[in-house]
Amino acid sequence: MSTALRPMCLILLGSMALGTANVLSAEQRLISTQTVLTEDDFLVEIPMVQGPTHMTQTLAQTPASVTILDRQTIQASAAVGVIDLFRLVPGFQTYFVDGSRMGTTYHALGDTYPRRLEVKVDGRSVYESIFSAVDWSVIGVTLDDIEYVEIVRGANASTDGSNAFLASINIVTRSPLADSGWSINSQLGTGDVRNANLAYTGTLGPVNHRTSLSFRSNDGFDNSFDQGVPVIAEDSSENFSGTFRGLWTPNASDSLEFQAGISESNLGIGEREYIKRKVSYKYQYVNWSRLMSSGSKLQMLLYHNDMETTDQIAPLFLSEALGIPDSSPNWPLPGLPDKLVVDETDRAESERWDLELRGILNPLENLRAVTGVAVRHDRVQGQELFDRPDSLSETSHRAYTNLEWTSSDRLVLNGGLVLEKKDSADSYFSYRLAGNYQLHPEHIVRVAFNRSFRSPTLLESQQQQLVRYNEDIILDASVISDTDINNERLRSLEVGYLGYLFDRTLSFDMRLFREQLTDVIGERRSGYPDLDNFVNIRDNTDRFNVDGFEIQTHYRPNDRFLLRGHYSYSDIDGETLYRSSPELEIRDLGVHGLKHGAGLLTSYAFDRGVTLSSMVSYRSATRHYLGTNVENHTRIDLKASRRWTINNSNIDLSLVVQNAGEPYSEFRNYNQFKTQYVLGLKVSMP
Amino acid sequence: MRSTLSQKKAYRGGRPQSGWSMRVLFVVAIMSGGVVAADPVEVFFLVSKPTTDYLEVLTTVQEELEEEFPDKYGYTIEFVSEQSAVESVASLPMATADVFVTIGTAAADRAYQYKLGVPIISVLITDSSFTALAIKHFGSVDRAFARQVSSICIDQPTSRSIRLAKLLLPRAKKAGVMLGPSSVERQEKLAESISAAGMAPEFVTVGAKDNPIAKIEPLMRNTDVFIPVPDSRLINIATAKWILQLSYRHKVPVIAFSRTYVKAGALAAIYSSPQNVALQAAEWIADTVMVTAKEGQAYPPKYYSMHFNYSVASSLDVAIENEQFYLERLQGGSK
Repeated sequence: MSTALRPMCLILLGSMALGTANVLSAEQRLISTQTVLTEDDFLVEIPMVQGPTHMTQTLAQTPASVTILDRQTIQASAAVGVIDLFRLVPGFQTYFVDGSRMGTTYHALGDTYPRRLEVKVDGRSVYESIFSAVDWSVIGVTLDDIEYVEIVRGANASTDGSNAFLASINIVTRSPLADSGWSINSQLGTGDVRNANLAYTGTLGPVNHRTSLSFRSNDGFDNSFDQGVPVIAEDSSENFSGTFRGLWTPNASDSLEFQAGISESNLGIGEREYIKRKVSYKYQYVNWSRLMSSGSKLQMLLYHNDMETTDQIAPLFLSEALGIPDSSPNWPLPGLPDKLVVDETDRAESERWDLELRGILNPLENLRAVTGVAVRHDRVQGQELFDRPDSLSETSHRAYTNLEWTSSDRLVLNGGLVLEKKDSADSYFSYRLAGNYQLHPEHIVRVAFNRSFRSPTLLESQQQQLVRYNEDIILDASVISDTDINNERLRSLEVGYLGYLFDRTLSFDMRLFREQLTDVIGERRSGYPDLDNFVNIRDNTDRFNVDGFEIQTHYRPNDRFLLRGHYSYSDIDGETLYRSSPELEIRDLGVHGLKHGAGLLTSYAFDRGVTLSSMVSYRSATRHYLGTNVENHTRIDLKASRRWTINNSNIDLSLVVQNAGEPYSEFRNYNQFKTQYVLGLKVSMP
Repeated sequence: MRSTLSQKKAYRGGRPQSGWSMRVLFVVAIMSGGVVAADPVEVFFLVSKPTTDYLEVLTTVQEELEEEFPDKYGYTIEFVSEQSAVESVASLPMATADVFVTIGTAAADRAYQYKLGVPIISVLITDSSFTALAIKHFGSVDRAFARQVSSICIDQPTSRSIRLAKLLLPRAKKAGVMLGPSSVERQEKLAESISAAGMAPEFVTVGAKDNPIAKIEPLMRNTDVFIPVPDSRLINIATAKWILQLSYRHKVPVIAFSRTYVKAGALAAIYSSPQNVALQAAEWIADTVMVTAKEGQAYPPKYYSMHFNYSVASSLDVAIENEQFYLERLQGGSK
């Protein structure tokens, strides 16, 4: 551990030790016997959901705008996959890069591998260093597995680390206690949609568990044309995954949760031309939690992710690539024979270990704190991506604290700070300051300021994507990381409003924001002494501001009717260093912004278990970063479902129609999303 | 007073919700106005800490008194968290108080040290805390009463929850009750209440060293309604999450003891809200100034609040009437 980190960690550990010891409240100290209750025992908050700071906070107390997609919303929605849920979140761009790869990003630069968003499943990061992104098709979470999804809109680095640069998502899966018995869910649809999910919830000795197996497949987009050229979309995908979630509570204070999962995927990915990618993914996760009599909590999280990808590529000889035989006078390597320069398979691997110790404390009556230290080890390996046969690894440390001070009955102040240090770089701080002022118990305004840094991933800092003839001759350099790549920087300011009306059946959440991003990592074109005299250099090429506002509303007057709506406006003003040599070329980034986005989910539950829902999503025209121009469109999804209950077993039949209208383009103009019909049948037998 | 009560959804147990006692007191106060108006009553509030629940009790007591008896009372407020070490009582402003109100256990503990010669009412305090403090400072509860020390405890009788459970779930035959180390001694009385409500009682006791899920799950599986009895904070927090998840699994409604419990997923709760506590305290203050040398008493909570989670009701297929419906029946049952 570096000298810079050590004092910070000592302070944090000291405060955790102090805070999580069996510190009793003033009331409890007065009474020595354990059989005496105080008002604290009656007035205690029942912690069920941890907010963006890992504390149990109401939305009126959080230092950021938060969207919660609960189980009722998920069930009411016309989502078929997890990624569809993010169409319900203001400011999010959700798209299919191809039939196998999904992407979602917040506000800016949604490219093929969107990477400024932390995504966690039960607190385990599923963001992979090898792609600097989340591969949604392999994480092994289905809609049936989810209890709720919490989306923090805005930087959350002080809680979730540097990758929560623009926003963070935490998917919380179903507890092994919430269900019992068997559940079988199957879906059949156009586009060769074949989904099945089998789950069993029960006990193994003292351990309660939920074990699930799932299979998902589709044939991707239809064949199409790109500027008159046919595109044979070989982008089908299939995924098989198995997950286990166990829970053991040896006593009232301690709980131990452990998870393991494995997933195998075959994906067709590409741009106009496609390759087959096989992805093997597995993880293990342990979360130990100890509750103190003071209400404080100590947590330890340990997890391990391992991903291995194998791309099947058409083997390529140099002569084929150049279109000339080695006997030609134009052969670029005189005296050297033709040879295979691109192998049939390309294998890459990514592995992560992460250990975090966290204390959730109440050091003072009006002061609550979450503080923790963590260490993470990332290892990647890939001949094609890094031009080396061995592994690359890095160890990073982080120490953080988030404080919530209830300054008065009306004012809540939040402060968060994270210190991060990678073994190969200087340490850096990210922080957040926020104040929530209660104009009225039902009307709260919030002002928040963020200063965040995002360090480059191993791919971003170490990429050397080269095609070699031999060790001395580089035939083609496609992407090389700049040796002096820096952290991305963000300053953001937001003013938010949260309001409730009609006995809290109607809520409004508004956010007015300015985000200033500098040193954003992109690619610049540059001259290079290879066959095409050209390379993409990964570097801090972009800077831009995003200004805008978002509105989110939720109306649930009774148990039958649900309405969720949102609108977002954002304006990107910035530029990218597109080419650095031979001549300088700066390009405008504003064209990549999504100016307007909106969505409306309406659902009504009739008698006899019949529910009808509609989801309308609007997106203005945009040009995807590393994608193409796409027109504005309105997509309408519909869902009808009916439930029958027979002897405590539930049978749910559903029909989902996604995009009940004309086809529209997803990410690239030749990815035409046509009307899709999906019939679902779910049987739950307790 | 009545309209204020109604707006705050505070319900009164035991007697019809007429607000008659305050009105009678009001009339008495007017009739004897020549005496009391000339000599304003000094009410001294000692509050444990300036946080939401405590402040809500404090302000509501004042509002209620001002609404019924404008300018009759003078108020002095101090917070224990802002006091220095115990000083000589003679030098403190409380020395001239006519009535002393403590809000919270820490405030009661501090006030009892002063051995004041004026009526003291302790609110936002549990029955067991009051007993412990009375023994600590006065030797016994009776001696505390003799020193004009009274309390209004916040522990709602679990029998109310049991009756509500039966009203919400008339077909329930078995009621599961979770007790902890602090509440286990109440098992016998609770069994009687459950039987009186027409249900068979089933109990489980969860201690700090027990596996809570292993203890609660078998009971939850075999009961029609589940009632956790408030215990220490550790037991309350440690079991709530598992209780609510198991409740969802087995489709067994939970009748809890706090609003936050309902918010987290219980079907319903009966509890003492800060307004309930304040209202009873205001009535006590108004009553006390009419009587000289009144002996102390431990008052059970007269008012209560009810809260329902309609989403949970829907998912458990429980049809819930409006709150007034249950209020009338709960009051009727207590006559």
